Amino acid sequence: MDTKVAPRTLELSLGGMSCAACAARIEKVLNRLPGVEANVNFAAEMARVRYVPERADQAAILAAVAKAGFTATPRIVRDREAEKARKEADFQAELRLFWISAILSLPFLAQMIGMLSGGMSGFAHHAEWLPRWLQCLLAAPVQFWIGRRFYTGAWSSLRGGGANMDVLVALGTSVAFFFSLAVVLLDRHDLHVYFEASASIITLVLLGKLLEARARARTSAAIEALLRLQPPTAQIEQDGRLVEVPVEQVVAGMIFVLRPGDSVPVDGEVLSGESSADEAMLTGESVPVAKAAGDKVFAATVNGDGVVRCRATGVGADTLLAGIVRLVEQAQGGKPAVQRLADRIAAVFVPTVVAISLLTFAGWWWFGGLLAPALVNAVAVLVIACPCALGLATPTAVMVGTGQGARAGILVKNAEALELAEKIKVLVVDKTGTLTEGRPAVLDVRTVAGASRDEMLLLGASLEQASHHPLAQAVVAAARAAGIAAVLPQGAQAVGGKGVSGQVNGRRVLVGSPDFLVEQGVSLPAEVLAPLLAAALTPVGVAVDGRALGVLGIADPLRATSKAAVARLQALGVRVVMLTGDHPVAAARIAAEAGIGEFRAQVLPGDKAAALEALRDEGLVGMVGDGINDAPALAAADVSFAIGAGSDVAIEAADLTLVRNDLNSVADAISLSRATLGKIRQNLFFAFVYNILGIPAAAFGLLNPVIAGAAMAMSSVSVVSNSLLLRRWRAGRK
Amino acid sequence: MENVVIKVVGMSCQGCVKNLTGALSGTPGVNNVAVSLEEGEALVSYDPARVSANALRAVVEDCGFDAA
Repeated sequence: MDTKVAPRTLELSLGGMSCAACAARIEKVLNRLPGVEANVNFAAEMARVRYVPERADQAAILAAVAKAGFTATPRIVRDREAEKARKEADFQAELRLFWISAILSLPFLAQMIGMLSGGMSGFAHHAEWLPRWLQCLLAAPVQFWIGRRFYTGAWSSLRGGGANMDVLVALGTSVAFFFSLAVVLLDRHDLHVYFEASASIITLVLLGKLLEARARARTSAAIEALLRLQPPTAQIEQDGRLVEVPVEQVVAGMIFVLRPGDSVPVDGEVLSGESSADEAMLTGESVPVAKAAGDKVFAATVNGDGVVRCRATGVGADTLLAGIVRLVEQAQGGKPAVQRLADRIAAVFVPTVVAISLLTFAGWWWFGGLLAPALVNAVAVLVIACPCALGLATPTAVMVGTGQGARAGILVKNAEALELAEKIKVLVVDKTGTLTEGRPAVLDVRTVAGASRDEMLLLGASLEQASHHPLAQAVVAAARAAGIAAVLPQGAQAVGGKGVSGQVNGRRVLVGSPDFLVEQGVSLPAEVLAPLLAAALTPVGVAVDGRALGVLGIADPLRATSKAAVARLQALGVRVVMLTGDHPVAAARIAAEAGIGEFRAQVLPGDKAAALEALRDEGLVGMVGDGINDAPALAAADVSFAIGAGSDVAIEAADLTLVRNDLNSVADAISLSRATLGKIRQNLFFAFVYNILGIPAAAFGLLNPVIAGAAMAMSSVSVVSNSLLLRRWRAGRK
Repeated sequence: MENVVIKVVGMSCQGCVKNLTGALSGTPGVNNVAVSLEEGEALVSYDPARVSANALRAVVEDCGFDAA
């Protein structure tokens, strides 16, 4: 990153916007300032402003917004806590509304049961237990207070020129309510009332919405997890002394010191000292990266076992970490809303029903010549047409589907993703930790002629016990697996992430990179080293008393299940593409082993999302990953899966979390999605069919509350029991 | 006291109207303001000794609208 005049980024929470034009105005006012580039999000009520510090400052930006008549406050990380609390409060408010609605509708349910049992024997009309004025009092708050959202939703949908589910619900329930109200007010005891239809439809739709909302309640937690990785304080060198300073107060140019195991507080450049850094959370690369003078360190990565002095180069919003956080936010905000299946059906159904209703009216008036029966029957068509189980069709199937998924180790966080997974055309798979174990292991052992393999493992592993380097742990694990008991080394000394020297059984042993051995005066013969390098394995040499014993080839091995899973996905018609930040040679080896024909290597974390966008032309893109570096790509994908012991961030950013470290779960998830969506389609059929059958009855003046109630009950029972059939789904099937 | 009609482009709701009315009436020297969303204009009566018509246009611009 250019450190000269790097533009700063400022985020503002805005107040006072009332329409999209307001957002455009703030944007305009800000962009008119010299050196300022602004982007205003109306829905999120925030602005993201990039400015050149020499030409503009925060005060001028805030003043410009204030002058335009809005309020602006710089956003700080702690705002997110408040946001989380607000979302939780919203959910609780929803829940309360539902309970009130349910309690108000309960008497109708009791009456309906009575009507159905009595009604079948032909006395429907007299089975009204509740006095009509009481029915009206119970239904009114449900209709206008709790059901208000359907009116606003319907209004904005109609204004947009289409009809959605809200229109259907608002139309059907209002017609039922107002017709019944008119009957009550005119005291016409010869006509039926349909208060129970309006109240129970709204309650059931609300229940459906509530079931869905629960899964979505915690999206902003992803970003919190990322930010928590950054330590709260930094060790700053001041006047030759070390002072602990809150990370917010660190400015570019300050000198900070990293002790072994410290998390890096800000981005910086190493001035002196040698160490290694675990950057897996940012890059997904499991092998620590050596750091010496001139190298860059990144906030939230973990320092290895050396001490380094660094100069801060990127702080606050200018760190790589902050950049990734922004990418995640942008990707989540920019995701297009999925048009729900129920809405698409409603778009056709509503005009059709209105047309039938008008025809009914015209027909009765034409042939009967009387206005009253024409009106009553036209209204009856609208009443019966509103499918009460419509609101249950999707949520019940999704609920059973997610339950089945959980039993198979597939946790569905986003219900819409479950609806979409069946349509995945391209699946982007992260390499490290997803296809592979994510932990380095010794894959090849080459000894110099005459040297003993067991001796080499014993000496190497004994000495490597002294290091916490992941490569060292791989050597120790390999010895343990070969049944070799390591002994305690003496005087072990780790040299800057490159190797270890010390005494084992009284002999002087060196373990480390070929460069390290050369520095210590030992060279490894090319014939043992070359095959490992050709296979893209990381070589770790072992020498004793100044003589080379051999080399261990270490790499992150393919998971045992990956190959079969890739084949299964391909059989499902999914194109599998591997994406990795690793070198092309290592990437090619893993891709070939897994049976993947296509891969993109050396993709930087920030470019993963863009690489994914490039595949969009093919159709719906799915993404599987485990690391923080995958989070932006996960958020950008249409459907995202976090695998196994993935980082919290990946899990939060993903739509589905796979508990098992197994790519087979992705194939299972797609199969579950197909099963669930099949059920949703059947459910929508059941939700509509009884009502559609009722329409002719209504049109010919034969509708009564028994038919309406029966249609409602039949469709609800069909939908719920059909959803329960989804429990027969099992993982591992195609 | 003088009156001026400023054409305002970019208003789309009553929020915009309220906003602009507030900004104009808060300007020293302005006596009375009437903003119309339908006509897309602002009628301002002001004291020419204390504020100019061009300064009023600048206020409209600062709110993010286009003034003509």
